[in-house]
Amino acid sequence: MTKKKKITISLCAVLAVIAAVLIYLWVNYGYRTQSQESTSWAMGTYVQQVVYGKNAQAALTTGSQAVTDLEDKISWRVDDSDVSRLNAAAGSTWEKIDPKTLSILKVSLDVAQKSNGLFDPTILPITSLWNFGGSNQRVPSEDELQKFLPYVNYQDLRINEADSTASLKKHYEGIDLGSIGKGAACDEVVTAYQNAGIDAGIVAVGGSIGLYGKKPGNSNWSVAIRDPKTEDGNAGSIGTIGMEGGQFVSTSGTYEKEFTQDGKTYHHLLNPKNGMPQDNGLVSVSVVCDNGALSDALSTACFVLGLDDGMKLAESYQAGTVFVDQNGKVTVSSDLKGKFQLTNTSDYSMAS
Amino acid sequence: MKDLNNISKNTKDVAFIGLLGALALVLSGLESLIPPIPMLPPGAKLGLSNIVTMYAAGSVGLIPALCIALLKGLFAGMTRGSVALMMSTAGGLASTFVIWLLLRIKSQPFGYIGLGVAGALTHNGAQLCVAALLTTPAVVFYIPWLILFGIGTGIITGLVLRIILPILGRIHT
Amino acid sequence: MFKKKDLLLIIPFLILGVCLLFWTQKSHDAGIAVIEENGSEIARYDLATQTQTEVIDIGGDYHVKLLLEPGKISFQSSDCPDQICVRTGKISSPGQVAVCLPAKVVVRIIGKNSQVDGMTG
Repeated sequence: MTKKKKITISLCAVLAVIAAVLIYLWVNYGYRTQSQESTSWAMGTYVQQVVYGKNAQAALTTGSQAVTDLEDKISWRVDDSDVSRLNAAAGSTWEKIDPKTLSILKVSLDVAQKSNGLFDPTILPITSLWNFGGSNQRVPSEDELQKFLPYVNYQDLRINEADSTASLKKHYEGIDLGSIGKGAACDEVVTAYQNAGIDAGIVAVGGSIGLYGKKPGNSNWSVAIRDPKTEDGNAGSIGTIGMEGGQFVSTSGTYEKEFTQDGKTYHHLLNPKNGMPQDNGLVSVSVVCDNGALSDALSTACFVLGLDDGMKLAESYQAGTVFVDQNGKVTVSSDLKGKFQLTNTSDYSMAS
Repeated sequence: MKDLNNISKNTKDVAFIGLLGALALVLSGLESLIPPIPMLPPGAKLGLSNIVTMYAAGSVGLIPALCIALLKGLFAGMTRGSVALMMSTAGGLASTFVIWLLLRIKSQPFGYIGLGVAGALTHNGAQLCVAALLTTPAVVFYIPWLILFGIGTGIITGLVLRIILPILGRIHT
Repeated sequence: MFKKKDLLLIIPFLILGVCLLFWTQKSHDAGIAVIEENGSEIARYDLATQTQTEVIDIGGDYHVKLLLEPGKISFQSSDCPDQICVRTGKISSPGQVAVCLPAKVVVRIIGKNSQVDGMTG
């Protein structure tokens, strides 16, 4: 080997080692690692995903597929879904359902029981009357409510885990999983991420969010809570919650679906006992826990229960909560106190 | 007669190397008195002492030059702790080696400024590697600054070396 | 002293340095200070909503203390021999970093918009 070659090789070796180490560090810790994004539409809302790591593209596809697959099982609006068949067979036969549907029904029934029925998955007879989001959304008359309220009864929903079947006891009863479906979808997507072998990912199905893994640079996630006073297209935030992979957060807010009739505004968070929007001064409730379906169900349940009872219910599930009321007061459960940062201090203040 | 001349020459060389070593330490000490500027990474130095190692790499051979770099590292270790020792040694050894290699190329493609910049960049690069491995990977944020700063100090180092080259040369002989 | 090939070395690195710099620097609104110890995040503070001055005691072998002020953050004290972290002074703009190498504590400022990963509600 000529002297010149030896020099070149040694030079390249030294520089290559230094460069390699620096590039490795920059890529992994420069907080600029490639991410892949996708936005799709399912369950009547947007599905947004951001994933990091290899197999990112495949993960995004399986992720959005997982949401539509679940929708085909649990949405009462889909003709042949498990829920539609259960609703059609109400008062007659037991129907065989997918284990995933069964586990979601199980979570709903558990929350229904612990909230003494203030959360009720069999609320379809009433929600059909209101038809929030539909072209003919309206305020039902007192007579209509009285007529259909008796058919709202979670205790009439029986499930059989052994042979994966379920049944509604009476005719006219119906299941509406609208207040748990999006959270459940997040569970499915996070499982898909796990199977795809990506490093990290965040999925948002409407207002429910699921987190997987740690962001590049080994840091945790930061999720903002929507400011109810802001417009959809230009949403501002009240504050942010520091979260980890494996956690989920869902929010129930009056502003999500509401309409005005004869000068009064009606929102979609109904009290199953009287069929009317729950009016307790709250504007939104966010619930953080380690299961998506549960976070979604709890956010609705805690809203209807109100601040004190709602916080107690969440605590029994070891879930964290953020309550926002009409006066701009923000109450955070003790386990979230170090993780929640209020950013909009002009419109909102922390309850002490 | 020949042997005596050789011994005399060797002693002169050793003495000169010692002189260079002392000069490197003095410059190092002077540099650390300058307060750090906020945007720049901790430990960012003008690189004045690198002038010495650059000159050594070209005049007294690789091994003595590396020894001077090692000496600088030890000095940093004594005054600023073990992390500084590792960083300075790595930076010094790497940059000295690279400059020596560049000087061995017969066609001498780079001028003093080019050499200064090559040395400074290698020095900073090696230091950062060590810092990241020893402490936290987050120091990788300094890479842009170290590159730009390295180019600047490299140019200065090259210029100063060119200016004092005749002086050092006369002391050597 | 100066040869044409020197530019072959200098210019690519100059461009690289400037590009990387733009990638890490963000806008100039007051940012969020992210505190990391040993490579993992331990806390973050919104400098814009900081109304009081407080001392953050990181502790550790070097008894590191940070000074959090409205719009600024700095190393107040540390037992490290160099004191470079303290001498860095107050940082406030996205992209700025202050580091105590022996204590392995990194304080860096990020822009507000970049920090939120998602929104619920």
